[in-house]
Amino acid sequence: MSDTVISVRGLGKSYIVGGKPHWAIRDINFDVQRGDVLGIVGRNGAGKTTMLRVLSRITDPTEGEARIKGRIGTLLETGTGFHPDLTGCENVYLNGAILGMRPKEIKAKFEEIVDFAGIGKFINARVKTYSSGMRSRLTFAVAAHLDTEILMVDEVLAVGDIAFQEKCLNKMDQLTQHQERTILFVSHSMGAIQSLCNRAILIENSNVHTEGATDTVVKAYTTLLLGPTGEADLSSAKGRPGSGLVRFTSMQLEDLDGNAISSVPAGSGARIVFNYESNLEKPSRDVILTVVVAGSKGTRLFGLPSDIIRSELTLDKKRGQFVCTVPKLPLLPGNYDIVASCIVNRELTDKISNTCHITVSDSDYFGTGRLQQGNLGDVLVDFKWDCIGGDEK
Amino acid sequence: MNSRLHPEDRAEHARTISDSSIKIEGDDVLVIKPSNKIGRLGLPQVWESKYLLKYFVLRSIRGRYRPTTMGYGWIIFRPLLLCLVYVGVFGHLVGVKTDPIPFPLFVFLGISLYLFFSGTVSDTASSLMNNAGIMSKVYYPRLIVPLTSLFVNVMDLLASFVVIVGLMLVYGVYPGWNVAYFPLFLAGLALASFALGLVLAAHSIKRSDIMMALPVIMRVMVYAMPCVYPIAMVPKKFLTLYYMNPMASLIQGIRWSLWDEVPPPLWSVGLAAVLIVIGIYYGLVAFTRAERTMVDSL
Repeated sequence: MSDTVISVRGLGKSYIVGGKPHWAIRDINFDVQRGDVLGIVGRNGAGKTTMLRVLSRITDPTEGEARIKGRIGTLLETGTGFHPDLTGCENVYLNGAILGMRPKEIKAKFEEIVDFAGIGKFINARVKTYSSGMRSRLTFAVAAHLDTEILMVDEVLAVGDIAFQEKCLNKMDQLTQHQERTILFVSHSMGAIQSLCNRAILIENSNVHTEGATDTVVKAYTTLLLGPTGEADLSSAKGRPGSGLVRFTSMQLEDLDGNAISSVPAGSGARIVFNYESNLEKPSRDVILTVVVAGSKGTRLFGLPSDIIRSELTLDKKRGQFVCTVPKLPLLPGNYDIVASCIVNRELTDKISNTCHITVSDSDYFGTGRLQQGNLGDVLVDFKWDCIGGDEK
Repeated sequence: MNSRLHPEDRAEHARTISDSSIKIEGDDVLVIKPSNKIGRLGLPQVWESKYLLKYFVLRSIRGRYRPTTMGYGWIIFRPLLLCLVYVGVFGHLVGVKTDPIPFPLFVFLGISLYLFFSGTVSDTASSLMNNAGIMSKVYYPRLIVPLTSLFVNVMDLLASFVVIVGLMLVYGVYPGWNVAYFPLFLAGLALASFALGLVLAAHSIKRSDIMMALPVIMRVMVYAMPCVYPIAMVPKKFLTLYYMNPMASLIQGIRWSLWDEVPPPLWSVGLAAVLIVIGIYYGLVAFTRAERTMVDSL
């Protein structure tokens, strides 16, 4: 009990929207123990960010209280507090101080920070000459070297290139090995949540929906998104670029016979079925559909663009289905994020990310009752081992 | 995929959270709860974050002057330029007499103090707005924000005083014993400007009219205090009214402490002191209260 570092009781925050109070979060209760890595999941607008903002003291709650023991650090968005006319070095000190580091601490870690960011000799150049990638790397590098007991991370991994994202996740992984460190981690990537967090909470409708072990919560979240039959409603999903002429309205996972399923056994075939709505004036034969599957740590595992296999797709109905058939889904058990996009007449009409997931369940693919552990990667491949003897002397 | 980091010891952690008796206690525990009317001033936290203040001040000063060709020369060049204009207009065209103090010295001090006053007030007033972006992303003691504005202007004023001391030596104007009061009057001026800025900052969030009117009011204020003309030019019957303005008595006090001009009447200095205390208290409270909710209204 003495090891509880965060205890939240009846926490609520309301904003006045159009003259009426709107509760972004209400009656939130949970505890976090020292050393926990707590994943916070939920749909866009469910209240995750508001909760993190209240807990990191950026804004006051409207009701309830939270008690926190230990220094709190927050991972910032890229370039927050950077001044373009200061050098990288000066900005590191400034940014560190904003995050609550003492000059001595920053000095001790300076080399490490610069090294991590991969800025090298540019550290003494003004930040305005940096590329946006360099800026975001430098921001994360400072924050990653924060020595606070509690760290709050909000979706920072959406920044930077893939290689740097990988680096950030590895650093997070390293940080979490440290038993003294408690981390609150908001993310849409179920893969990242599963590989980093030991516990999780699911926020839905401003409230804690499920709390507990990561697997339970991730399962609850996927069920919430997919519904019990595995159908994901996409009609109200937000944050999608594109013209909207053709839109995905739902996603459904099916087996090869066309039966709806909520998860695919590892190594089995699957059909990813998207229902669409089209507002096109004329039928189009120039349609490119792409599905990208991303695994833990947000790494893209494979992409399935329709144009490279010359799929002849004709779009002439107001609504219908796009079906992507994968005869053998080469994935190990776990949750995978799906990014789907539709290009009609060389124009992006819709792109869905952070919303669709597919769940791969356990199976006896090798006929041995065993499958690889997750630490050996996400991909399932056929293989065999032989021992070939040399000549005897 | 399912490899968890501490699989061995976390399986049993299906805790019930309805138990509200669990409370973390101790001196180092941070309690987050709805803000009361007065809010949290967080003065000890400000002291702990003094490094942050230092870096913010450095950032402002470096950021302001580094892109310019003249660089830090602008700190002194800006008041010098204004001083030249006023020497031309008031010294030669209007013919203001400030004997025995040479007019350039007289006006340079006045302009420096005025720039300090208007700079502090307007920077402090707009500090919340200007830092809204960063304030909505990370927490640090909020008082650091207006304090940065104050200290940046203090640095500018100190640089001006290098010129003033130089001019005093050139003209052979030496202060007497009353220079001992100089720091007091200067601190008073700083606190008064800061307090005014804080009050404006707190109210400007809901009423942006303040930020529109402020530059005009600041321009007019230069004539409401003895900056570019000596106090002797103020008609006798208006003098009481004139000294009601704490800025007027503070600036006249600085003039008196430096080169023994007519001192401000004691009652006006007392009034200024009372107003400063009230202003600082009200300013801090209003600022803290406004800062608590300002992030939400963005």
